[in-house]
Amino acid sequence: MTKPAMTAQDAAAVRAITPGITLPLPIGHAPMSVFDIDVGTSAGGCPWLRPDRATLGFAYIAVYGTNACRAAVEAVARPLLCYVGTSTGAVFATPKDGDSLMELRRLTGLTWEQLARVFNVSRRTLHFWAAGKPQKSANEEKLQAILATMRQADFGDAQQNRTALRSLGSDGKSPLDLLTEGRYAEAAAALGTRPTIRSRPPRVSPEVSAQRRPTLSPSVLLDARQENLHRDPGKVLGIRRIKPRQG
Amino acid sequence: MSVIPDPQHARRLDAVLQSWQQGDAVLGETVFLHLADLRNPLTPEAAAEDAEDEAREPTELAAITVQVHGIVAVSQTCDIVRACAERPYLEVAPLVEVSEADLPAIKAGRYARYAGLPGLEGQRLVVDLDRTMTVEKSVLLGLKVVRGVRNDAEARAFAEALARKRSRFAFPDDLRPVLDRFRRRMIEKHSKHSPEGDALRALHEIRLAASPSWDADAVSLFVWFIREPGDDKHAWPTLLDTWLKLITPAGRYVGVDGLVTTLDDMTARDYVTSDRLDLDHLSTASA
Repeated sequence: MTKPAMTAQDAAAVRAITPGITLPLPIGHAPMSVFDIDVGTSAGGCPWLRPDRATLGFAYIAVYGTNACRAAVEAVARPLLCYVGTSTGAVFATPKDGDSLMELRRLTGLTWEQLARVFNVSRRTLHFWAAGKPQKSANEEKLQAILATMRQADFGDAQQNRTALRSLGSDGKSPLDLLTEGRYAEAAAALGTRPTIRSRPPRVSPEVSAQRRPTLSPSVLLDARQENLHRDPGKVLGIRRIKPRQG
Repeated sequence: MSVIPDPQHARRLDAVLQSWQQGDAVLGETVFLHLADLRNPLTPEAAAEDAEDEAREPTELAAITVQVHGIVAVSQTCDIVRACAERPYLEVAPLVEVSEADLPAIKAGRYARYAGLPGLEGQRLVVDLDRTMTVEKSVLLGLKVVRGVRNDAEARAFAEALARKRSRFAFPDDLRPVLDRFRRRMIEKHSKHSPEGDALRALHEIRLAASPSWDADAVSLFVWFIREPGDDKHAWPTLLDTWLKLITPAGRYVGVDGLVTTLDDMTARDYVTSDRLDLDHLSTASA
């Protein structure tokens, strides 16, 4: 599917956004919906979200309003969106499936093998999803539903989440089994709901982030050489025997 | 009994070294020492005529002093500026001259043995990281220092070259044939103006993990291709498939899988349990 058309201003805002903020998407929100946020008309200063049109693969939200509303917009938008702009006219993009899958892996601490069983696909298929290959809509919906369940149940620790997922209930089923079978409400009830306790460290500037990238390109490292390139052994100035002390 | 070090000298030396940093160089004819067994010389220096005379003596260990084009401080800056009474030593490496033709490859990081210093550009001098010498800090007093790295980015790159020399993971020898087609493809395509070449240049890093461990009888490989967040202009799923097919499981290596991802999406565990793919080889061997 094609991306929605973006204005030049939107495109500029997207480029200016620091990527990598992976944020939760609540149950019930289609992950690929496009919303218009009109800050100025929202009641009580809260942004008003209106699903507009569905796309597959990419979505963005245009924000209209003043800079003063930025914090309120972000407060609402951050839980929904992957990339968040910071000024009037900023563009917000929803998480892609690859991002969601990686977030689910981080949250649950499940291995690729275990996750593959949940979706009844091969590990390799999951890796392609993570790399951006489109999924069938049924898998996409399942991913978002499981992710939303896990966000609400998050202990703040992948190991605890994994333990909870694998704990057997009275019926002999674990929440992981229930999620695998698509019984999300039952899984959510078994796992419980917790306030969000994960916090993110302050982001470093784009300049620092760029400086921290490895300076050597992968292909250089794969073609690294061993030869001796300098031919001058160095003029010998002296050779002094070292006599160990006797006794 | 006199106090060592002399407090006045120590204060003066400490004050001078406050302005030194890792990568600083002393240019000009400088001495450099290493130990050799004169009965079994491995270098032209140890096999020199003088050495032959010395080797007739009953002891075989000798300190070989050679003249080099300069020395470079490779100790960390914090150790250089620390009080000489507490930290009297400094590690230095020699500067060697290379051909103009070899300089670009050294600057690109193709040789783990050599490190370029941007502050010495135009002099065909690079740091030979195979050799280091310990000196007392007083040796540097009065010498004219040349700044080898001039900003944070250059300092970081030099520090990375030092770290790489000592800490790059030694992948097992039997991995080489498994990766050979993949390695050749990466090298061949990297400079090409093609979708694959563009994608390769967009990768920050390739890391490799072995499950359950590198020394197991049956090893599954996992390749991490690390890209920039938000980079969806390349056909990553197709490229991933292409690249993984070039890695041919053989011998102990029973399977290969991989992922194109970002640092944001790797867990800290994923990162620390994998190693940066850094394979040095003799170019003649791969021709």
